[in-house]
Order: sequence, then structure tokens, then C-alpha cells
Amino acid sequence: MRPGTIGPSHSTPTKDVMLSTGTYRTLIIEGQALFGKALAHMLSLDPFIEVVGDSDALTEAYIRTTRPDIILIDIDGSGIELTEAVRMSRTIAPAVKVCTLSVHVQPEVMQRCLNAGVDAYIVKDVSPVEFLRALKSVADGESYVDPRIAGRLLRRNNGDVRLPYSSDLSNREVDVVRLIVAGMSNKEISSSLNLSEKTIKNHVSRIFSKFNCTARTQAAVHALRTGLV
Amino acid sequence: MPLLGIIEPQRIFAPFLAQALTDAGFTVATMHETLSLEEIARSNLAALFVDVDYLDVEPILAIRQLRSVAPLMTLCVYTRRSDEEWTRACEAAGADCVIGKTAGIDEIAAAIEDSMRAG
Repeated sequence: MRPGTIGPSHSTPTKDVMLSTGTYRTLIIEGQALFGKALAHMLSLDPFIEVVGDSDALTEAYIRTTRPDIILIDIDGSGIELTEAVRMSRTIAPAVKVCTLSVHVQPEVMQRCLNAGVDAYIVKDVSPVEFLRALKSVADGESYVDPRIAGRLLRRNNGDVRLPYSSDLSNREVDVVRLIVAGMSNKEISSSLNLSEKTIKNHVSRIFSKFNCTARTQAAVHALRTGLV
Repeated sequence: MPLLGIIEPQRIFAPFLAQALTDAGFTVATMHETLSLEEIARSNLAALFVDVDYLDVEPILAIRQLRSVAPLMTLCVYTRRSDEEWTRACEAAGADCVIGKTAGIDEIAAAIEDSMRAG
């Protein structure tokens, strides 16, 4: 990978760079090729948004060339290391807003993104109206998180449920917990996730350790009570 | 013209995908945001294109369920994971083809056509 490049591949500006005209100059970094095109098309219909680029990789040169107000980064398919991407973006454009796009609705994944310094966490199945609302909120200086995830966090707080360990789970461990809650055995989880049974056992052991429990039922109850699944 | 169904929960993407597949020559007969097994079972779709990344059901289980309710339908799975192991697992569960999300519309259309032809 070239120095100053985050992500796997090349980039192409979709419009000539323009001076600010009161629109939000928006750069799309999306690993799902067709989704990126769909998103660019949808955003181009909004008079307040100008799509200045659509790519599967983020480079210093690309940021300098396109001078975005907002960068949308797909964290699932683009292969981007988010913390480094945010650091690089803000070094070049200190006022730039960074919004992450993801398939994940787990608060833990969102928390990792917020820890990396992003301004928004948007789940990719939201409606176009909600997506535009999110973008405009961020452009106006607010933060945005998916309401479903915010709701989970609120329920946790209202229930005064402590979360001493769940935020440390990896994405794979979250997958395993969900299947434990579904009542699957290690063998079934192994088959479902296409991993060896030994690997699943290791994941389960780590989950037990992080949840401070010793049985699958306890882990499942903890996951349900804390809104993890 | 054989009928194609789509299950695509990404609401920004679904209409764009349907139009792109129509432009590629498919007859898109149904489009759903969720896994609607009863409707799929009742349908006469020749093929189904399903994005398994956003379903409420775990992907491999979803593929098994779809294959179970529509044993003769061509089942094309769209997924962000495209490694060999995952592809084999999807195929073992009943997928006729597995299409990664880096694929463009030409690649998607070709994969669906090839799978339908293979029957």
C-alpha cells in the first residue's frame, strides 16, 4: 500500500472541485461498489449536498483534491483502518466531519467508531430520509448515531444495567454470543460461522472470561440483559 | 422471461439495484426488505437475489430456510464476505452462487445468469 493511502484501491473524483457554494461537499469511501453508486446518486438529488468523490480507498491526495466537508466511510468493506483514516483526514482538513457506515447494530461496534473520533455512525439499512437527516445533523455540528443503537444504550441506562465486559467483545465474539443466545451448540455455531469447533471453544472461553461467567446460559442472559443481542 | 426476486434490506440501495438488474435484462418481480419465507414459497420466482448481511436470521440459516421452501429456485447470495471458506459454507447450505459486495452490476448479472442456466 502506498504511503498516505488507507484502503485497497484507486479513486475517481465524480465532479470537478468547486469553491464552497453553501453545499456540503461530500466524499464517499465505500467498499460495496454498487452501494457507493446508489448513495452518490441519492445524494446528488439533494440540493444541499455535492458529491465530490466516490471511491473504495482514502488517500491524502484525494482529500486534498476533493476538499470535502463530510467524508462517509464504509468500515465493513473498504478495508480501512478507521483510527488512522480519521487522524489523516483531520490533519489535512481539521474541520472535516467523518461519518461511518456499517452493517453492524451492536453498540460495541459503534463505540469503537466513536472512540476513533467519528462524528456519526450510520447503519446502512436506514431510509434515504434518515440518511439525509443524519448527514445534515453532522454538517450542522451535531453528532449522530443510529436511533436503534441509541435506544439500546438508553434502555441499558434506564435499567441501570452495568456493562463491565461486553464492550470488550470482538465482532466475532458478538457473532458467537448471538448464536449462543439462539440456543446453538459449539458444533452448530462452528458450522454456521464456518469455523473449527476448537476456534469456537476459544471464543466461548474468552466470552465467559469477559462476562465473568462460567456457563452458556449465564452468558446468554448477560447478553440479553445488556442489550448485546 | 424468468422472474427474479430481490431481498435487500438496504433501503438506499434496493431501488438502485432493482433498476440496475432490470437494465441488465432481468424481470424483477418482487422486492422485499426482510426474509419472507411464506411469500417466497408461494412465488413462482426462477431466481432470488438475497443480501444476507442484514437479515434478522443468521446467514447460513437463512440460506437453508430459503432452499427448504423453494428447492428448485436459483438462489444467489450477496454478502460482504467473499473468502473461499464462506463461499463453500453458503453453497453447502444451498446457495447456487455467492456474490461479493465488491462486484459491479455486470459481474452480478453474469453470476445470476450462469446460475440460472446451470439450473
